[in-house]
Formats: sequence, C-alpha cells, structure tokens
Amino acid sequence: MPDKQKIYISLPGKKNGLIGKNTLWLGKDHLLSIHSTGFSEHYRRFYYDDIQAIITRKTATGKICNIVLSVLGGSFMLAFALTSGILSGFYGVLAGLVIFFLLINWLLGPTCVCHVRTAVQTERLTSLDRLRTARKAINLLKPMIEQVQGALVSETLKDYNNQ
Amino acid sequence: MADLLECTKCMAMLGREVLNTSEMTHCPSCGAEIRADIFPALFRETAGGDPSEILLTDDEASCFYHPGKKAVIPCDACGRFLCALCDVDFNDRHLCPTCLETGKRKHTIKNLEISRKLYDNMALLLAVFPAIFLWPTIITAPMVVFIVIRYWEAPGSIIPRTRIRFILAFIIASVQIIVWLMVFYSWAL
Repeated sequence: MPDKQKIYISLPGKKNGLIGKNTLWLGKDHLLSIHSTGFSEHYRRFYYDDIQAIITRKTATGKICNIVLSVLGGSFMLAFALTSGILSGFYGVLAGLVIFFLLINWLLGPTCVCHVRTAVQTERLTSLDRLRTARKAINLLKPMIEQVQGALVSETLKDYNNQ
Repeated sequence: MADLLECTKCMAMLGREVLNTSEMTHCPSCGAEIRADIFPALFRETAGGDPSEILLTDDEASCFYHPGKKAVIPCDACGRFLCALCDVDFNDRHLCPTCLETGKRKHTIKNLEISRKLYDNMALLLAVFPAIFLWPTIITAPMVVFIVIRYWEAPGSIIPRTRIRFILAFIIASVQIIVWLMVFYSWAL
C-alpha cells in the first residue's frame, strides 16, 4: 500500500467552546483554522506568504480561575467539615470535583491569547489558549512560514521604525 | 517601511526590542507579557494591481469579459481570454471569475471552501441520541439510513477521515429498524 502523504498536520491545541471546538492544522501552503460544531465545519485559511506576525500575550484568566476554584474548593471543604451525614458527603464530592478541576487548570499552565496578523486582518487563534501549547504550535508553524518567506535577517529589522 | 505592530491588549505600538525574542517580554505601555514573532511579509511593499491595457489594433486578442481590453492570458479552466483585471492568479493557476465562482460552488477548488456539512456526524448522532428515549427511533432510524445512502459520496471533513461514522450509524439504525419490525410483528400476532 503506497504511503499517503498527510494533507494537513494537526497543531497542538484544541479549544472546546459551548457551541463547537476550534483546531489548527498545517497545510502545504497555509494554516487552516477549523471551527467545528459537530454538524458542520467552518474554515479560515492563512497563507504562509501572507502572515506578517504572530503575537502571543499572556492573560490572567488562568490565575483568576485558580483563585475562584480555590475559594470554592475551600468553602466546600469547610462545609464538608462542618456538616454530617449525606450533606457532608455531598459537600465532600463537590470539594473533590472542584479540587480536581483546580489541579487540571494548574497543570495546564498559564493562559494566553494568540493572534495572527496579515496585511488586512489580525485574527485570534482561539485554539491556542495556553502558553505552553502556543509555544509548541508556533515552533511548528514558524519553519513553514520561513520556508515560504525566508528567514528574517537582522538588517531588515532596522526598517522597523520606532515612533 | 514596515507597519508597526500593536499590543493586543492596550493597542500601543510595540518597539523593536520586543520583536522576535524567543521568550516573553513586556509591552512598554501596559506591561503585559507579550511575544511577537515577525516575518519578512511585514516589510513587504504592497504591489499594485496590474491595469489592463486597452485594445489598440484589431489583430490583438481581446478579453472575453472586456472586449475593449487586451487579453494577456487564457483561463486555465475554460480557455477564455482574459485581461489583466480579469485574471485571478490562484493556487498557481490563472482563472476567470466565472470559473472561480463555479469551482467554489461545486467544491472543485478545495481552498475556496469556507464550510462543509458533516453528514457522517449527523447520521451517527441521529442514530445514537434518540435511542436513549427509544420511541423516536421509529422515525430517526429510517432517516439515518436515508442520510447514509444519500450522502455516502458527499465530501466530508476537509481533514481526510474514514467513513466509520457512516458505517456505525447504518449498523445502529439497521438494528433499530429490525427491532421495530420484530415488535410490530409480535403485536400483529
């Protein structure tokens, strides 16, 4: 059986929203962003030749979630300690769940927002919402862009004016 | 001269010092941790569109869509002569606007597709979810069989995948239909 070359290679990162999920794929000459609702898929393509910049910014969302979950977990644990019987069991289960989600959130690392900029748009890459994932994805994406555009030489940066 | 990049939080212009650093740096305005990877396209001058030339002599070929303009290239799909304005350079092919639109409508030019329906997912969900409530399967099972047969050859996800969802949906729906037939048969007896 002949080897089938993959048309698209999956990039790290998968963002599950209320309505659908977002994924990123590396194509031969473009980056493909797919928003899937289960019954349909919607595509956005960013051609490597058009990508001017990728901007990643750390956000406080992860930290805020940690704080909220910690307070919630602490409250449920306190309720668990102060009550008895079935109610105590109920609070114990809730506390366990909250602590589980807190652990997951902490392990996933800091959150971020990632944007790709072209000459006509600055579009958010929704699936890259964790810094660790964004780094991995950008490390895979950069060589593809540089293969088409060439590497940026330091002399060219001098054309970038500070105003 | 390159366009300046903006911080995505405070929209302040980012200086040279925050560009192409492998680690996170700080926006000079709001202090947000930011990393900006830039590429040569940022410094590229935007090329103007080619103006189409006016037809000067009768022995020159004219554009199919603009008879007064000189043809410069034929369409790779339909062969019509095109002027510089009508020529759409796409995926290393020169196409006329009509062929481009046709390619998008008939899904022959993959890169123009902006959405697709996932009939395999629909069929599987329709086969599985109503089974929880039992009674709706009397309606949904034949619908699943219809969807599988009708849309078997329809393009699925743009990411190539097998037809396992269609097959599973068909098997589940077939079992549901057989069960209902047995139920009706037992009632009839």
